[in-house]
Amino acid sequence: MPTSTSKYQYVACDPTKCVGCQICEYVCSHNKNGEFNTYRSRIRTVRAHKILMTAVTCRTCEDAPCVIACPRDALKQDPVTGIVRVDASRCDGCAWCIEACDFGAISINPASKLAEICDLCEDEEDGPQCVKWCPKEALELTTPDRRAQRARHKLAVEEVIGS
Amino acid sequence: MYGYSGKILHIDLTTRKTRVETKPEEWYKTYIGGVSMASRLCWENIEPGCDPLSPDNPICIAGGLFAGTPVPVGGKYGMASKSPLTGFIGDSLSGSWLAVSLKRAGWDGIVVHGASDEWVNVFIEDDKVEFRDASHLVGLTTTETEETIREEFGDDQVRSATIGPAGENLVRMANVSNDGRKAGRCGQGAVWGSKKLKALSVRGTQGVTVADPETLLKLSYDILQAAQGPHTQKYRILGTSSNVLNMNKMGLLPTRNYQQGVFEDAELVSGEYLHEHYKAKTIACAQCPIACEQVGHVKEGPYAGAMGHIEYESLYALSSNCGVSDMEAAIKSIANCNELGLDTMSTGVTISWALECYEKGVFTKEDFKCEKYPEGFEANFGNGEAVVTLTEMIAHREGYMGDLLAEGTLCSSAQVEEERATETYKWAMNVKGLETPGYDARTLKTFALGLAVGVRGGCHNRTAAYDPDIKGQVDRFSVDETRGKLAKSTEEYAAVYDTLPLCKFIRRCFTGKADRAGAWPAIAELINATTGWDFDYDAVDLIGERAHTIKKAFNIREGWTRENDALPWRWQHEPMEEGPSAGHVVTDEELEYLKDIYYEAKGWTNEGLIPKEKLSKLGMEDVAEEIGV
Amino acid sequence: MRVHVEFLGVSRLVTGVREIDLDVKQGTTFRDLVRLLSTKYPGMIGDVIQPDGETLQYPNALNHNARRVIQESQMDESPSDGDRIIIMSISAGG
Repeated sequence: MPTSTSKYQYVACDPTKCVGCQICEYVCSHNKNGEFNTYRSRIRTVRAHKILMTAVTCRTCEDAPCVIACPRDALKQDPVTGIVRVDASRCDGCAWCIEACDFGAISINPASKLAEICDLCEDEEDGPQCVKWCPKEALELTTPDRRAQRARHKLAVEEVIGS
Repeated sequence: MYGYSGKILHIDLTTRKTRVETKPEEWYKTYIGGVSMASRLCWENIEPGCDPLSPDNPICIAGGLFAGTPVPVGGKYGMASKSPLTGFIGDSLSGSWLAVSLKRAGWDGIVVHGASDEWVNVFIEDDKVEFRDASHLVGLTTTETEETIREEFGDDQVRSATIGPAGENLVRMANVSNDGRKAGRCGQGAVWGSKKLKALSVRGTQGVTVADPETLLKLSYDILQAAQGPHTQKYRILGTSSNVLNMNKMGLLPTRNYQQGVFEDAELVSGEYLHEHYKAKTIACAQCPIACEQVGHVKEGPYAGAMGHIEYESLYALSSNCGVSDMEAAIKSIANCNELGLDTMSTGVTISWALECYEKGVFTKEDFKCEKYPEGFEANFGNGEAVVTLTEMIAHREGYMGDLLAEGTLCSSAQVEEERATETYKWAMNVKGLETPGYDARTLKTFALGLAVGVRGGCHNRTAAYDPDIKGQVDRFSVDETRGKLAKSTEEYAAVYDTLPLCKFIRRCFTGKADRAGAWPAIAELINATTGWDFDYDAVDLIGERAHTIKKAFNIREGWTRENDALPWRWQHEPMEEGPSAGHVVTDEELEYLKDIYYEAKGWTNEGLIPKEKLSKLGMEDVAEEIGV
Repeated sequence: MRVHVEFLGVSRLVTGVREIDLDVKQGTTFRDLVRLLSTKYPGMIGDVIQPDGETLQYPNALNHNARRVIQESQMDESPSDGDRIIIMSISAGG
């Protein structure tokens, strides 16, 4: 059983590849809620600037702050996958988890009034739908370990080979 | 009904009252959305014969059938009103999020009547309409306006269509901007300005559902994958600016107000050059998996910081057409137009008219006085700073020249003729008042026809008849009996995309072939999966003919006659002297012959009027009653 | 005979070349020319030339002397000495 977040998977976005089309939001909301509605997507795009765009969803933090913050113990983090699941019978939509999440990765579903957090489409055979649909392959299912390794390689190549 | 809410929202800015109109399903099947529905709404709601800048000219917005679904490139909407440039139908399309917000707010269309006393930001949140004070937004650029409104609401998903200072100042070629995209041509921004409508903001919280989501998703996914391959290569990698060198090679690149077709410095203002030196990123509209918008960024020099979406039609108008070889000045001019809310094409071609006037001695340096240059400036072709300054002057109607050029080439040349008894109309490059696009029609004879008969004026996009000419499917230098049918075919083909709407850049991604056989069956499937209807090839084909016909009918009611289908004087009387396209004009004989065979192909009379039976067959009985013959 | 070939658009990007002169046998067809280019610049295969090595990949087209675009049915015709062949990505609109 993994004991560190470096093995927890999450969906990350590469802002150099993201073009801001929002297709990820449509397929997520349809998959989870049966309609195309960006207010009901668990992945959210953001355009910070004309040419700076990216998408954000749950980072499967270790000792997830959202779990700690919930006053009704409605959030539970899976120790194997790191996925945070919402207990509908306990959640009252108070949004403390949203306050606690530094990434803005949690939303309250306006219809059900429950907190919604990305679950990596664990019920789908082909995995996260957003990753499947992203036309520019900007989204990937990854782990902190792999991201760190890529950064190290990139740095080494730049420093030694200079490109 | 799937795909539609069944509701049109009417907003009266004079009385600040709203009402909801419902339409039968048959109406939706006939007009679908985009430019067709917008033009139909304009037909229904305008006071015929009114001044385009009067309260009687409505702003008609029609949503997209596929907006808010994963159908690639379906995030577009249409807008129509009577054009302040032409006095005929001004129909525009714009991409991106506003279309999605409209759909999710539950409106198929919006008609804005009357005029407000005070500057207003109309805010629509689902079925609530609010008239918000916009005095603090006046004077702000399009981007600043959008961002300010977004801040006010604290919600990224509040999407706004706005006008910049150009629209506020009733500049005839002002546009409407939303999400960095534009309902660009025909002067929509001036109509908004005349109503003191600074912005229309929409928040739609409802979800979009379709008749057959599983089929729609499957179809969309396949198209999305195809959109990453060779079928969209030319848009993704270099963008439309790759046309600069293409057109230059063929002697078709508008140079110095269409005096020449070859620009000696074309390499310096080419898409290739942009790609190498100035491209910051390629971005996409809402729902678009292609991503064709090449964003150019100037990092250093006098125009440092300028960032604009660089398209071919913007680039030719403000670079080669003005003799400008400085890419940085071109990017700055384009960025200015984007921010100030000006149609880059009409602005560029109006500026090039002014530059030619200056070089011919019609204008003097002093005519160009402004705050930045109190002595005026020498407005020669090639003076990049002059072009940049003129975009600013036009947007603010600053000085004699800013105010004059804000009227567009048709009115400007008429005014100067009155003032100075000159023949500047000879180089006023417009059709019906809408300035000409980035392809010299003297040796694109099918295109010349398509432009001349163009219902919104000199627009390449609506006719699309340059395609067979440039691709060599017909001889571009000559005229023959097939061109009438050809021009009908291309304009009706384009109209299908403009009505759904779907961005035309997706056209090869259905089956690999962009012709009707390759695209219509797939489009029928998309329509049916969305609406539950039973459209087939023929039904899709009819969409285009209907869209074009309602616009034509509008024009006829506004007083169009055959004489209005004309070409700029230069294209008929002045051949180019050098280059691969030298030595040709479109003669009167050619033009009249082309019009004859085009009207015949359309099933119209020789005067270009529409028989009653034709209109009835298209499902437009009420139109037949009013203008059918 | 000598023909002058210019690369525009994507073909320029993948070859890194703007223009070259090619000395070829009299009677060389346009199709032969494309084949020759695909061996000289293998990077063109894929984006500019199809895997068969002799058919241009849409939207790339051969422009002949700025007068005409060579259609598929004309690919077995021959250029003349001194002709200019331009490989362009034909685009519409924007």
